[in-house]
Amino acid sequence: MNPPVHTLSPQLLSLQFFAGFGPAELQILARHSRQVSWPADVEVIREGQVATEFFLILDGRVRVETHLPGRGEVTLQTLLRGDVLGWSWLTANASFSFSARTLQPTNALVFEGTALLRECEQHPRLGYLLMRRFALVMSDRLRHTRLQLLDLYSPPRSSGPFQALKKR
Amino acid sequence: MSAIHPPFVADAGSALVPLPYRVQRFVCDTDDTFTLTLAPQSGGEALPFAPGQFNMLYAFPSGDVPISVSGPAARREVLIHTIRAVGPVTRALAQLRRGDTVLVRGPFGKPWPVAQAEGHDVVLIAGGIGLAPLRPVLYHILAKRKRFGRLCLLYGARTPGDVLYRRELEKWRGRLDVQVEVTVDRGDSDWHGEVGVVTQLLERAQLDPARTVAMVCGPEVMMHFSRLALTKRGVPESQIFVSMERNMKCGVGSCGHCQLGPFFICKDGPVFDYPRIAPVFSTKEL
Repeated sequence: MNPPVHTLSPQLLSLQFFAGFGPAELQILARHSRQVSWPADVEVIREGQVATEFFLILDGRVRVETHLPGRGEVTLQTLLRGDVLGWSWLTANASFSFSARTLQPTNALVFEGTALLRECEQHPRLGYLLMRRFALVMSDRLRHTRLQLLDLYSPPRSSGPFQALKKR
Repeated sequence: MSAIHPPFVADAGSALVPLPYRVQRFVCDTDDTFTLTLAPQSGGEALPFAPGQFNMLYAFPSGDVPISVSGPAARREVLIHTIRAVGPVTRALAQLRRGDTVLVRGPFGKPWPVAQAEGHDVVLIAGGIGLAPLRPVLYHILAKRKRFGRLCLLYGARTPGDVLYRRELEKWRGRLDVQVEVTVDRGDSDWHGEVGVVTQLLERAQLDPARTVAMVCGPEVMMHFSRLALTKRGVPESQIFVSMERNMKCGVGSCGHCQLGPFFICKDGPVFDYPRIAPVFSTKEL
């Protein structure tokens, strides 16, 4: 396991996730984070597993998936550089709602969510900024999910049943 | 950004007179979408058009439909149209075979601002069949690549099976001077690409927002959210262009079928710069 990061490089700080955090909060975040590297096709988190961490993707690609009987693993979303994986840690004793697997070699920062929740009790500003950051992540995900549910590219209802075109 | 470049428009004499074309090639793109390559029955050159313009295609006895040209404007000998079979006329067109005759009237409407985009970064955002009207823009820019800045194509489809022009997308993605990002709303076990909505792709687009021209084509809700995402990235609204779709019939702004507020989509559009269409864009039941 890699040691904690201690300081966040300017390159990391350029990620949108860190926007708005002051030096004191960044130091706490760094203290409770470490860098990890995964090869392709590794299960990063498993549905139902106790959620004590969250991840910030630095490069590579991760898919969020769930298992549907008869359909196998269904991809719900893909995450890339700058995307956050996991928010279940915010609610104590929670478990991950979905699984996640790397699609290619991926580097990420892992944050100890449980430890950060304790820090938030002592540092309300960190808690406020962190909650705002995750509210943004969650509202983005909710908006995207709603758009996916709208099924924008489906055929018009009026079009009725249609036999698929045969390749000629 | 100046006004849209004057388009090629069918003159009054030919605007209402269909010309016979022969089906030279029929390609099934997906389960419900196909591409027709049409050549003038009389020989010679096809009707010249600018990227973003549309023609009226006739399928007797069902009627006619407005279909954007999806082929390269530089290819003068044929007209290429990509069509989704969703109604009586488009389903009749789906029955055509090589050698059959189709009547064509056009081209109509204001095109994409390709000339004005020279010297700028260009981002093309397409949803579903909306990739078809944007493909001529891509052909044009790739043919005159040095005149443009960075080029980015962001494309969203419903499922992997609904992805249009898959081979071309792979070819374009292999180039070093185009960023091609494709996402689907619903993946399957064989899909190793992105899953999510097309607006998410914009966050990854490599462009300079202030000097970017965006051309967006797809369902209106998708264009609405794309416009919001572009504005969030810092692309000026005057540099955002959308292609509107209504029930075009005459093509010359006479019949009123495609009226949207003060505009006739067939004549004033289908391509609009966003500030112009904003007052009526996303207006309920308009």
